[in-house]
Amino acid sequence: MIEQFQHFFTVLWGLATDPVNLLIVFGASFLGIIFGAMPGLTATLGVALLTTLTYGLDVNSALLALLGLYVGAIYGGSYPSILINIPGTAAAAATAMEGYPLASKGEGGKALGLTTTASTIGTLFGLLILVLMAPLIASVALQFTSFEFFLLALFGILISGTLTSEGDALKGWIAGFFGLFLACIGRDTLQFFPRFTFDMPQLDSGLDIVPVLIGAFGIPQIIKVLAERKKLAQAKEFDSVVPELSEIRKNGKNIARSASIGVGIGAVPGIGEDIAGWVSYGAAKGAAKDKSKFGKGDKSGLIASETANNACIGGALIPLLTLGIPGSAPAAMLLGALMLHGINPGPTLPVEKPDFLLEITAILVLASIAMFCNGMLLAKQVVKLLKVPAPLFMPFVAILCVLGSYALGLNVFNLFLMVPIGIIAYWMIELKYPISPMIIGLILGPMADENLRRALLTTEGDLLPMLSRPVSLILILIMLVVIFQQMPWFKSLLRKCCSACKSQPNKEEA
Amino acid sequence: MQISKTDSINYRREAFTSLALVIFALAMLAESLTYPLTASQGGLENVWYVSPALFPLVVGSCILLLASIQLLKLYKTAKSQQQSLFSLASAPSRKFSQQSIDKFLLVLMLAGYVYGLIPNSDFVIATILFQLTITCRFYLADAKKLNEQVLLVFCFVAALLFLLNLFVAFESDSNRLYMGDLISFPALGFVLYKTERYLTANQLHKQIRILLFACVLLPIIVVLIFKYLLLVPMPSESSVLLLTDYFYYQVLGF
Repeated sequence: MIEQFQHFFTVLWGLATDPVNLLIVFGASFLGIIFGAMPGLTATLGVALLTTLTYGLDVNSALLALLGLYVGAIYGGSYPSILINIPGTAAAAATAMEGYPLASKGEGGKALGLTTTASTIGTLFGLLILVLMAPLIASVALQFTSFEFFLLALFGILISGTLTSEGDALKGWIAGFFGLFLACIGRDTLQFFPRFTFDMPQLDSGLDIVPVLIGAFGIPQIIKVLAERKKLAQAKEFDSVVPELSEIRKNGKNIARSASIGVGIGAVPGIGEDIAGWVSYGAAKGAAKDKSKFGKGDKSGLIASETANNACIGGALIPLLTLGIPGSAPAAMLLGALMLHGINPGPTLPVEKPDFLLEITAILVLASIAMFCNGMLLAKQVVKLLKVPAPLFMPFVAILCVLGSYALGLNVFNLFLMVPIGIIAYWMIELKYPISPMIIGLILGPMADENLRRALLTTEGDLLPMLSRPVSLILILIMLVVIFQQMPWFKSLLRKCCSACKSQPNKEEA
Repeated sequence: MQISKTDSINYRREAFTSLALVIFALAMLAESLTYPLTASQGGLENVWYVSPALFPLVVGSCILLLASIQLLKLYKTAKSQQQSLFSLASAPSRKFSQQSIDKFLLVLMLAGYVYGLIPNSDFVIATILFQLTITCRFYLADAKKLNEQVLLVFCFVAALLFLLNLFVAFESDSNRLYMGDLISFPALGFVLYKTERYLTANQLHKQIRILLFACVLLPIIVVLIFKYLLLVPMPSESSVLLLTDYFYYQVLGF
């Protein structure tokens, strides 16, 4: 343990004393805050675009840039939420509920100070849980066989499909399976047989993840923001951004609860910061003595939402690093970036790279510090950018999308791919099909395909061993419950069971 | 209960999408069944459980099942509202909203940029022309006549370059790009001239500076950063980028 601590501080010291690394992390964090603050730009798009630029860097510098941007973007979403009542990212939607009324009262600076501090605490709490939980989960996952990995991939798609779709899980599952189809394109890994390539050599190696991600997240955003022609309100004036430490101390319990909610939700595949923000906001409201203050500038609601959405980052990294399953959309992009740098997250990661977890922890600590400093010192500069109208910066984002898709493989075919993927993604969003399960399907597809066939190869086509292994069985049962929960007869059965259980003790008492 | 017009349009979209998904899944299954299932593959005897068709068959079946359930759900909803799915799926007469037109034009502009301009003319010219067209449309939304002219020129150039690439066999890629530049460069000049004329006529001098920065200077800066700092060659390099190459390598001596 002490050795690990020593190594952690050695890595942190090594990173923090290199001026180039400091420049990268502070620059990326500032860029992240801008991406989060500009309505229309998202953390996922930011990570996707930056991935291309980090290709030439070494792993640590690349991760500093990507995680710096990720942390900064989740926090940056709070700026427009507080100052113009429009969330910069979905993660900051709950922040607007209390942030904007506070800014309207002339307490915008205080609100920004609180969000900066709460976000930093949230990120560090998530990190702590990541360090504690990841080795445990990884050691359990080491016992997994091909059946478990196949089921785990399926589980990730099902659960993210259920939780990200707006009331219609079928759409989420269809999106997930469509992602699996996209993963089938190219030569298969076991027999090298071309699938769905239609004699196009460019498709032989399968779809590159980055152009698909940029197409799926970037193009719908460009179309939506420009076509809606939304005019942003004038940002509220604010004084100095000073964190109120007394308010933070007063909200200790609230922060602990929100951070736990954030980590828990972040760890569930596919769902992310936006849900964490709303759930913890709801929990803070539920726990408050005076609920009437909520919606009128209550600081505990603001702290809850911002702590949770940043704690989600650590939570999302838990399944990513231990099982190779991304916990949120930006984490899915991060997984693609890690793969590009030759790191394959999963249970074997601690064996292949024993110090990687400590390194990523040190990087995240540095990213949090950068975010805090940038938030405290550069808030006024970021707010100036909110004055730039969307029709001026969105076309520029389109150019960045084009360059980002092309630059990685220097392949024009990736551009030809990005546009139809973007149009399909836009159509899906219009019809309320979630995008995250599609991306998770694309990323987990090869894992599911390879492990299903490998498992069947070892059992000579027998599916029964899937039911005899405890982890497989648990995963199958959970999946069945998730599927059956969408069926009305199962819901009414559950309701009947619950009411019967409730009435039983009453009868006994009588 | 009578369903609203918006609901009807949504139902129609949902029904068509589900139907398209069913057809897509069937096509996927049909294509998967052409892959070796049990035959000898590359000298090795294949068995069904290692067949490359196994996973696509599983995925295709699941999509087929889920899309069919979705279609069935829509049918039930339609029935409960005493409408047949067909009547819900028939197009109600409606005018396209400004938002729908904008969405369509955005897709058209993106497609024109990616499929028409980028592969067939210098990347800098293509990018500035695209940026100007899209910015004029949404930033100078009141300039209706200017927007129409700019959009028309953009679409014409993109379509012409796309067709030239498709039907004319050029001796080399550079010849194709030079030919593309000969078409796109005057078009860019025309768009710049028209925009400047409009802004000057309406006393919008500040907007001239903003547009010049956002549509001309910013793309050039980004391209130069990618090309000379990050060493990423552009998708198509001809007249403008050859000129910058000359300055960077010959004049500045890097």
